[in-house]
Amino acid sequence: MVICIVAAVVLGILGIFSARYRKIAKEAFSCVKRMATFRPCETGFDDKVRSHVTSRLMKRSEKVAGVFYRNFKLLSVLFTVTFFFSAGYTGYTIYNLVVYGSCDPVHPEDCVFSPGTDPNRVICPYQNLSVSSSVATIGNFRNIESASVEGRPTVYFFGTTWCPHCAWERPIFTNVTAKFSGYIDAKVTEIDLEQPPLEMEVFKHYSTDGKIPLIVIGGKYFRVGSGESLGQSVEENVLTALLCKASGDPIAECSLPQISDLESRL
Amino acid sequence: MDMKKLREDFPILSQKVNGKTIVYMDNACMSLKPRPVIQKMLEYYEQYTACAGRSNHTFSRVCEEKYQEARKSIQKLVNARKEQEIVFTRNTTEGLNLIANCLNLQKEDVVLSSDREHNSNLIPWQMLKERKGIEHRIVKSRPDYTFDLEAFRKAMDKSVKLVSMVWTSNIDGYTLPVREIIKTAHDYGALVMLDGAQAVPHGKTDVRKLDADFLAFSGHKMLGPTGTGVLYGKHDLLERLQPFMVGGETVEFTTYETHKFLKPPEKFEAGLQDYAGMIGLGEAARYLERVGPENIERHENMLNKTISQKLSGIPNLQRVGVQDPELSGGIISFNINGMKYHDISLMLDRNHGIMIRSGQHCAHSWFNGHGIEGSARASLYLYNTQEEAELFAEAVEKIAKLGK
Repeated sequence: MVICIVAAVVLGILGIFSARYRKIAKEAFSCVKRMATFRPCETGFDDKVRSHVTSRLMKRSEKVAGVFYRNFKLLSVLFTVTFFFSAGYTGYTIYNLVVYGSCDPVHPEDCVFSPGTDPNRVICPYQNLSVSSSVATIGNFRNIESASVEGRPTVYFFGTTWCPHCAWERPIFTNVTAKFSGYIDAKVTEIDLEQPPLEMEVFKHYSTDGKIPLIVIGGKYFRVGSGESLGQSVEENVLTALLCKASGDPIAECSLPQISDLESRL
Repeated sequence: MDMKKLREDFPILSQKVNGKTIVYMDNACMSLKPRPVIQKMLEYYEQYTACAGRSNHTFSRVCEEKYQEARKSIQKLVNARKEQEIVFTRNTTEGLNLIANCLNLQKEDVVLSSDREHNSNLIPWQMLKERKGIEHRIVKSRPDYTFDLEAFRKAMDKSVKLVSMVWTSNIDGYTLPVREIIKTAHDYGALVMLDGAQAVPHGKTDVRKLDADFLAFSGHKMLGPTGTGVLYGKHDLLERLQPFMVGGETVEFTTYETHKFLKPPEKFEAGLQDYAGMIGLGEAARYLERVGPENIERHENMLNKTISQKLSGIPNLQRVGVQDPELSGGIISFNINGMKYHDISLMLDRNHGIMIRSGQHCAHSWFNGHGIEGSARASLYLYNTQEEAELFAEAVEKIAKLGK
């Protein structure tokens, strides 16, 4: 009975393109109509599907055909449920692909339509930006590199509100940079909310393919992607060491062995 | 019967469907056509297309000659006394309807039938019941599905004007004891009409010995073209009957007020006839005569036995109707527990190239009366072989496993 719902949808679509399917699609529709009014299907559509599929299976395996034939009702219910579940999911991913540029913005590496990603980094692609033209115009890159406010190096965080990896990185960045307050100038930019011209130049320069999160430290160090693979405490140490290096070890923490060890590798 | 030579006469049998040589076992519905029949029809269209008996030119004369030749061939096949006793119709249904409408049955006249009638020998009487108030009496079969002669005798009385019965059932191939039925009916002064659609093509027909008053049968089930049929009627009865479909070719002359009908059979054959079809049917009758109706009957029964024996080993298979292959002619009607009859036929067709029928076989009343939804039905004919019978049984055995 339920299989005709799937058939009506699938054959209805096929019927648009090929007259071959129109008659059988019509049958399936009439079946759905009758089902909706709690009447049994008149066209024997389900029976036809069952025997056609069974006869095909028989050629391969009589056992499988037997199981299919005897459990047709259950299987068709399962099939219909799966069909609608996957149809819904397909719709959702198409929406994501159109809006975010990836069928799975949370795990873009799982999406076959996502652009190639570095396996070591977890990245939320943000592709609404046009990137190519700005690279050449960023001739004053060195100015940005030395960009500082009253001698303090500028530290950037770029992310979006919806990107889960940015959400992971953001509090760590905020906490660590807070310890250097007065010695650095930290800027957190949510590029889906605001696009200040100077910061965007920096973003486009480092994240050439528009991926987030992006951290730029004093124009010296940058990384596209979060530090999730390192873990929170390692990431905190790495960020601290980088900031120590960039700002000339202004705080006591910079002399902690684990920090100075990391710093020495820069 | 030289099967190889015989099968060569049927061009359709060399056809392959889905890469498989076809096994045709839906003969109770439609028989295949031998080349001579097709040839005869083609000849009409290619060599002498004309109106028989109306015009005075060569084509018309040839056509009339061949048309009457066909009538003679049918007369010979059923052993009628006169060729005028052979009325050409479109099919058995038309023959039965013709009698139902020409007999002039009145209120409270009784028509008696068996409980296994085809819709064509049921609805006409139900209509007369509604229109004229006749009574339609049904004689129930015995629990083993055979005809209950006792019950029949009990149902007979002087008010029974017509006994209209199926000769061989299309449900299970059971042949009714028509000679006893006819004798009893005549004792009560009732007329007897037989629905011979499944009988005439599959065995010897001798209307003189039978003493049946009317016998209707179809051409398409006896190697003839579709849309051809025959109504045999005793000459004196046909002479007395008023035709119900009238017009061209049925009258000697008309005035503005009157008309004079031709003699039978012409008065029953209104309008332009299917000459090509009837000429083909005549050839089909001659073909059957050449093979020998008794041989066909024996051959079908032998195949039925082979199939029945093999099918009896399938635990979830149930025969529908009479169980004994001796009683079921060339028809094997069955169901498989846990399976739909349509699935059986579809799978036989798809996976084995075997064509059978499934459903109620136009005998809904019997299926409804017995609480059976329907059945799968294989029906044999002269061109089916022993190998095909075995192939069929093996295929059913395979398919039956699905229903476990």
